Parts: sequence; C-alpha cells; structure tokens
Amino acid sequence: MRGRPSAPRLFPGRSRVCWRAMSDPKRDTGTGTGTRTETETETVTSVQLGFPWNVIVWDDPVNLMSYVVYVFQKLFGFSMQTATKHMLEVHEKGKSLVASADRERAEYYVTRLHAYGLQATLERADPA
Amino acid sequence: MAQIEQTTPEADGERRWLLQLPAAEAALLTALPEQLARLLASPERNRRLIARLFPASYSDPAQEKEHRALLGSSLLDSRRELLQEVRMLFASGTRHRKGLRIRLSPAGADQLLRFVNDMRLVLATDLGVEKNLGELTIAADDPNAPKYALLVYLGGLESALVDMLIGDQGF
Repeated sequence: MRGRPSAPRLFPGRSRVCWRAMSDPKRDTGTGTGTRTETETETVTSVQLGFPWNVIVWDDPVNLMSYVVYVFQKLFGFSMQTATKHMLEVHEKGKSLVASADRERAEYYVTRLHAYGLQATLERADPA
Repeated sequence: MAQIEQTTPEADGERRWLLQLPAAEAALLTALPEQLARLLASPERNRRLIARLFPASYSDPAQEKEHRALLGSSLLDSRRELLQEVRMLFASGTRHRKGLRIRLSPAGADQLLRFVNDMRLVLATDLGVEKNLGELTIAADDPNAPKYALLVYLGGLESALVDMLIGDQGF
C-alpha cells in the first residue's frame, strides 16, 4: 500500500464513483494541509453519483489523542482544528464519521486507518 | 530519557531530527521489532493480538470475509515491511558511548511512530487494557508491572514523536 498515489485502485473489479472527505472544504482546501503534496489524500468535494459509504473511527483506550489528531491530518489532510474536532468526537461520543466515499475509497481509508492502529469500519450511508 | 532535536534542513529541503537514545533505551527499543516479527510469524497462535492489529473493516461477517479475501496477505506483508524499515532505521543509527543516535526523516519518523504504536496496541491487548491508561493504578509488585512500564515508556516516546511531526506540519 505504501507509495500508492492518492487515488489508488485496490480492487479493479469495483467501480469508483466519487468520494468526499468529511471536512470543511473552505478550511482544508487551498491553504490547509490538505494541499500538501506529501499528504496521502487530497481534500476535495465531488458530486455524489451513488450511495456513499461512511468511514467511522471508533474510540480506543490506548491510542493517544495527539496521535489520532496526527493520523487524521496525515490521511485526510484535515486542518488541526478539524482533526481535533473529530478526535474529540471519537473520545467523547465513542465514534466519528471522518469520511464518506465510494466503496473502494472507503475501504482504502479504513485499511490505512488500520495500518496506523486506529479502529475503523465502513458502512453504507443511509440512503435517506 | 530519549531526546529529539531538530537538525538543519537537508539540501532537499526536508527537515530532519536527531533521536538520541540512552544505551538502556536503545537496547530495549531495538529488540522490539523481533518480538513483533515473532508474533506476525504465527498469526494463528496469537489471534487476539493479531486481531487488534488487523481489525475488521465491516461489521457484517460476510462482507468482511469477502474483503479479507480480496486483500489476501497484503495486510501482514505491509506490517512486515514496516518492521523491516524500522530495523533498517535502527541499524542506520550511530552507536556511541552513551547510547544510539538516529537521524529521522519525516518518513522515517512516521514509520517509527507507527511501529511504536503497534507495540503499544499489542502490549495493551496482551494486558487486557480496557480503559484509559491514566485511570489505571498498577502496584509495583504486579507481575505485569514491567509490561505496563514499557507501555508507559512507549507512550512517552510516541507523544514526543507526534509533537515533533505535528509541529513540523510537513508530513
């Protein structure tokens, strides 16, 4: 998985439709860390063409809060403020929806989150 | 205690840090990759610990099974690659009378950080930690006290690495 470009095709048999990160696009595009070339994902909003999949990060008693903030910034290009908001949501509410994407990309995010030791799952978003 | 200091940027513009480990800490840290390697070599014998390193992506067992089949051995392979990178990082260090000096690039620091976190997860799972570590009180004569001490030590190192990387914002 290392060295893959920002839009990898893990499973060529599946169609890639669209994705969007659950961040503030005004904050995270343009001047935020999301534009850095070494950040693993870009943070842009695209038109949704199908039911997206949600990426959920779950609370864990071991992972450090600062580490979770770092991982969110690294993987999703979140600003410090957005990353901290999601971390606190995980800590206080037990989970946080950090991204919504097509299935292939959602699986990629979850796999990357697991590689960093975070508890994450993907689930189909409510069609409503 | 380990110390991290920033060094002057390289010609490529990337920042570097110098991790200085006292001899005892260096001996402890450099032995850990082999512990994790042994665990990864026998996943069937370490199911609980392995499950923490490779949690399910789907709550639905059928979807999870399909997902795992697609991934094949890539999950284990990527963890083994990480261990190899960390071994090389430790081997690249300069040994001196007082310990070990390791130059860290942003990528190397990220690999070390992930490795340290993996070790913490394995230790905590082995110890059955289910609440925040700050809420635990461990007696000095607890047979698991050395493991808890290692967990706390690795937490301190991890915190220092995160502070360094977040402060850099160049990842």
